[in-house]
Amino acid sequence: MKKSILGLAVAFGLGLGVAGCASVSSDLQIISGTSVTPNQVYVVGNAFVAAEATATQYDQLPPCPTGTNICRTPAGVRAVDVAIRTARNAVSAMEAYTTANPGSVVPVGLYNTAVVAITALQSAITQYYVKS
Amino acid sequence: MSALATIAAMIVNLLTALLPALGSSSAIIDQVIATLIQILPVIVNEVTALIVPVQNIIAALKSSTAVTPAQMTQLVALQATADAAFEAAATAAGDPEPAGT
Repeated sequence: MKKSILGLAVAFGLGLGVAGCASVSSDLQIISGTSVTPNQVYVVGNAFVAAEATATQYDQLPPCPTGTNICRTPAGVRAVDVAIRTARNAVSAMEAYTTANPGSVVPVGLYNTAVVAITALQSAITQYYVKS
Repeated sequence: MSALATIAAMIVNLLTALLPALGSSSAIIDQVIATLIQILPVIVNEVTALIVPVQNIIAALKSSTAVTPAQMTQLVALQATADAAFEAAATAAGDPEPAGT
């Protein structure tokens, strides 16, 4: 069961990644246009909250070693925490613009900064948390 | 947290990285929604902090209408709650938020 779900997760990610190449020019994560919609901001904002919940759970793991690989390390805590705080600043700036300008498109620079930060967060969580 | 819940969280985090590329393909969005719905039972049982953001992602991806100011306000409030929980955990783990950030 565990292996099949892990396979689903990997296949899911790879499938989306390949498909995403068709619609985004050079970088999978970066949008090359001039603006994004409030809906995209909303989705990414919620995704950040979900990632932050995962990071919170990582920080709440028992310190290594525990006899299993489900534990936190000082390096992992530091990397995840730095990534969370950087991403939070970027996402908050994007949300603040959307809140101050309801219904308006959002400058792509704000969005791409958040995307870069969230990508770094994803890498940190994957490196230190998801080992099974 | 069980291995299953860990993997469910992994899927949500894969989405976090990949969401920006989803905007133009309704088939991919349908696949995302189907997958999120499939993992919701695990999330509901074991990773309750993920429930609301995942539900919001599903709702936003399903909707063709613009997000409302009320939804943005709710998101900001949700994030504030998540921020507080994270900083409490980070402080307990020995990595408190630096002053002035």
